[in-house]
Amino acid sequence: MKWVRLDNSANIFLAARNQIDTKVFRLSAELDEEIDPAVLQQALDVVFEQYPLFRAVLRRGVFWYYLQESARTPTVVADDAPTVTHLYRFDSRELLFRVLYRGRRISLEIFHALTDGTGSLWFFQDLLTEYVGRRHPEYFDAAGAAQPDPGVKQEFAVDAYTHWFRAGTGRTSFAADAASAAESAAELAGVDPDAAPGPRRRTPRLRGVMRVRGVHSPDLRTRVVEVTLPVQPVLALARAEGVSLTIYLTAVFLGALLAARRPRRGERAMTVSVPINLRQFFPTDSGRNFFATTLLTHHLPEAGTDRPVVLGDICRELDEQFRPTLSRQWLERRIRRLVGFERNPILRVIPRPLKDRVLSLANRLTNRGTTAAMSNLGRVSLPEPVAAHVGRIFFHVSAIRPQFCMISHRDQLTVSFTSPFVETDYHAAFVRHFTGRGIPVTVNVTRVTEGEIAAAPR
Amino acid sequence: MSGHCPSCGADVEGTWQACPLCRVGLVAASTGTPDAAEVTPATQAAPEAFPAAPLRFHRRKLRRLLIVASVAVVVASFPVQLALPDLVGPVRTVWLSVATLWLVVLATATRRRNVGSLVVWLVVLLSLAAAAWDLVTGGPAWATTWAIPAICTSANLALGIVIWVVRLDPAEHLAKLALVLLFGLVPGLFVIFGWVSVALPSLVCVGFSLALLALTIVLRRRELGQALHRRLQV
Repeated sequence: MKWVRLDNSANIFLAARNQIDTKVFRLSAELDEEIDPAVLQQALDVVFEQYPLFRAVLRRGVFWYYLQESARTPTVVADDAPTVTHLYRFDSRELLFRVLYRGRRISLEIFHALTDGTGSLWFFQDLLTEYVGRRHPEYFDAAGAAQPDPGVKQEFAVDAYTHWFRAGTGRTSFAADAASAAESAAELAGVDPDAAPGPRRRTPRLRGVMRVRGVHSPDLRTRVVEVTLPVQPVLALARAEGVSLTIYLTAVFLGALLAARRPRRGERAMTVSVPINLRQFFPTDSGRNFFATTLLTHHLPEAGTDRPVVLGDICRELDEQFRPTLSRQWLERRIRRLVGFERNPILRVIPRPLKDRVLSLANRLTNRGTTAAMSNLGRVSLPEPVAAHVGRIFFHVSAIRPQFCMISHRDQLTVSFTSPFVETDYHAAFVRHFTGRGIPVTVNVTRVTEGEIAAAPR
Repeated sequence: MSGHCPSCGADVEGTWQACPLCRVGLVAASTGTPDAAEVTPATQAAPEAFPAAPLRFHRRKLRRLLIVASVAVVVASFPVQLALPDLVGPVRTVWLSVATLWLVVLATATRRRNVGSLVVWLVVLLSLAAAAWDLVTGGPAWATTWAIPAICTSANLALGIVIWVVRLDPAEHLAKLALVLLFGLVPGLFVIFGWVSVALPSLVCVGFSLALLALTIVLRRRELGQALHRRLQV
């Protein structure tokens, strides 16, 4: 029976998981016709064979969690439950993903400890290709190119953190390890590690960071607001501000939050957690989690000064902080610190339940210092004959605080907001930003309150 | 498509009467939707993209109900004990039974997928309930002499059946089996400390535990080793 130890980020997901935040994310695609469950099952069976990693179930050891290969096979199910519900239960040995269908949508839900957005997108793209290929065999057989390659793609193997960041012999202390990694990275970059690129001003203490509060939904289900926008006009707006789409939408989001909520006394900054896909800097075929996060800060004007919020200012402030993080050196330093923690001999022998408590506490502190989070999976490209049958692609994650995820396919960009609260005020402000500039916007919202559910057609 | 929101200016998908973001009544959909691709968003005939799954629970209502019920029970327990002084013993027994029942229900609800760990829970809860009962009635060491050894022996029997007859994946359960067998040795301590009036039930329990433990180690040495190796990785 094959088994591997859980990778670095996944340990944090397990500790941070709770009733509200299930650490499950969903990728969905809208096709041009009703989904045929039988064909979807066939497609899933084929793709599942190529991704041994997806056979994993999660088990608890005394010191760490581990992934163990299982003989279970996945079955497609109708999507009739709330989105991103729990996938991992400590006392069950179920697969860490599910494939759902509803109307014209195919959805893939994944527990974040198994893989990250990029890793799951590979699986999802192959699933879509296989499905569309089976629905339209006539011209796919003729083209002969669209079928995914046979053979194993994501092996049940060592994670990319270990591959890239083997922290020496494992005999150095955490501090020595972290310091030497920082120094070697700094040597490469030719800078003093203490003066390494970073935010202009320090992020204020936890209490000074704006937090969004709200009314939780009755059964703690996630509120999802999907916003569809045309790619080109939005890209043009971002270019006009001289920033990337990621930074532009993050700035609009912060602006929308400020338009809808007044910061409380003592709240002097807003922070956004942004993940960075490490595969672009440290190439790997591993489908397991491989990303780092950075925290971007927007400082609020001093109390009393009634200065209006200027989007351009937020854009530049975020961009100045984000640019330096997109370098191999900066990321290397950050990751080595994390890996050092995992490889520290003293920490290694602390029993897992205790580690979980500590990580959970650390996560709660991090949450207090984070206003919102975002994630960008970029542009999805499918083989041309497949792309013609696939419309919008969506991506969202379970959230403990306001969060948005963006992904685009062809000329449609979807921005999916998730939050544990029922309020939709800042979503409306976000939408108004674009409709006010003549950009057409479509919204799709999940029903979460008693009244909304009662009003749904049966 | 539901319609167009005159407040935020978005086109709303699904079957909403009012804009789900602004709570403003929707008007007929505009024409400038971003349907440039061949694939258009869901039409009115199609179901909503997200199911309106019924609420699993209503947190606020649930909490209110629990608080009201608990307060009512506590308040009611005072006049009952005042009115019927002779019934204090039985009333407490009922209380204990109800408490144990709720704990078992809770344990079953949270651990229903794992029989082994449920057995551990049952053993602990039943033993505690028996000991508590003993304290209340002041009986002649009934719990340590009869109840706990009997509970432990039957739990081991149950686990033996689950693992050897039902044949769940043995490697998965060996760690828990060892735990419960060790747990079964506790009645031996009762004998050593002289907490029992009759030693036989405890000795039967200890003997059975040791036999099962020895059998497991002899017959399932490899699986036990693998399971331990996986769980103890540093």
